[in-house]
Amino acid sequence: MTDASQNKDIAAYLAAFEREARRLRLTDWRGIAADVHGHINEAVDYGKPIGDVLRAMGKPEALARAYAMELAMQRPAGGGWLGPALRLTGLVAVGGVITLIVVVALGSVGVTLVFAGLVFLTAGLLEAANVHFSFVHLGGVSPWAFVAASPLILGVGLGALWLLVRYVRFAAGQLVRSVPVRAAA
Amino acid sequence: MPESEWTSQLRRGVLELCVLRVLRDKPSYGYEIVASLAGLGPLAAGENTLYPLLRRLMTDGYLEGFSAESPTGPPRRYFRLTPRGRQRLTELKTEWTDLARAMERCLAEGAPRD
Repeated sequence: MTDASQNKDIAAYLAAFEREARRLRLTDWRGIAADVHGHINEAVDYGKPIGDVLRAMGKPEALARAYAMELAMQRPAGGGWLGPALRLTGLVAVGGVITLIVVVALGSVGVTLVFAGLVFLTAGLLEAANVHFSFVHLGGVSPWAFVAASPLILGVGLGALWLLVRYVRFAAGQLVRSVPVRAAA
Repeated sequence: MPESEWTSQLRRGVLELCVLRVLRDKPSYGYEIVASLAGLGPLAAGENTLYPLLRRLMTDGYLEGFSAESPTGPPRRYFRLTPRGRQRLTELKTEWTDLARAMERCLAEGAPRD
C-alpha cells in the first residue's frame, strides 16, 4: 500500500509526465498517463520501494519521450494505399477551395488595412504638423482623429495577417499528416 | 561489466519478440514482464523501454489489456496476445531463426565467396 508521502511522489512524477506528454502531443496522453500510474502501483504492490520504482522508470520527461519514439514506430494500418490516397485527394479538393477563400480574404484584408493604417498615421501626423499636400484631403475631419484611428486599423490588419499565417501552418500540418507514409524497410 | 551501446541496440531490436513470447503462455502485467525479463541477463529491459513497447504493441493490435483484481492492492492491468499477436510471434520467430542461423554461419565461416 502507498502512504501519503508516496502518493505525493507519484503525483509529482505523473504531473511532470503529463506535462511532457501534452507538449509532445502524444495521442491519448491521458490513457498513457493512466497506464504509467498503473505500472507504478503494480511495482509498489510487487514490493519494490517507491523510490526505486520511480528511479527505474527514469525521468518523467524521458519516459514521455520514450513513449513518443515508440509510438512513432507504429505499423501503418492495413488496407493498402487506396484509402489514404482517396482521403488525401478529398482533403486537397475540399481544403484547396477553403484555403483559396481564406487566403484571399485574410490576405487582402490584412494587406489593405495595414497599408491604410500606415497612410492614416502618416497623413494625420503631416496634417497635424501643418504639412499639406494637394492630394491629401481629410474631409474636414481632425487630423488627430486619423492618427487615433490608425492603431486600430493597423491592429486589425496585422491580426488578419497573423490569422493567415496560423491558417497556412494549420493547413500545411494537416496536409503533411495526411500523406501516406510507408515505414522504411 | 557495463553493457555496451551495441548490446542495448540489439536488445531493443529483439525485445518485441521476447515480450510476445513471454505473453504466449499466460497473460502478465507490466511489472511482472519486467521481472520475467530480468532473469534473462542481457535481455533484461528497463521499465522505461518496456512500458512504451507494451503500449505500441497494443496500438498495433498484437496485445490486448484487461483489468484483474490483485489480492494485495489496486486492480492490475494484464496483457495477453491477440490472434494477430500470435501470428506476429510466429513471423518474428521465423525471421529470428533465419537471422541467427545466418549469423552463426557468418561467425564460423565469414561471408561466402563467389
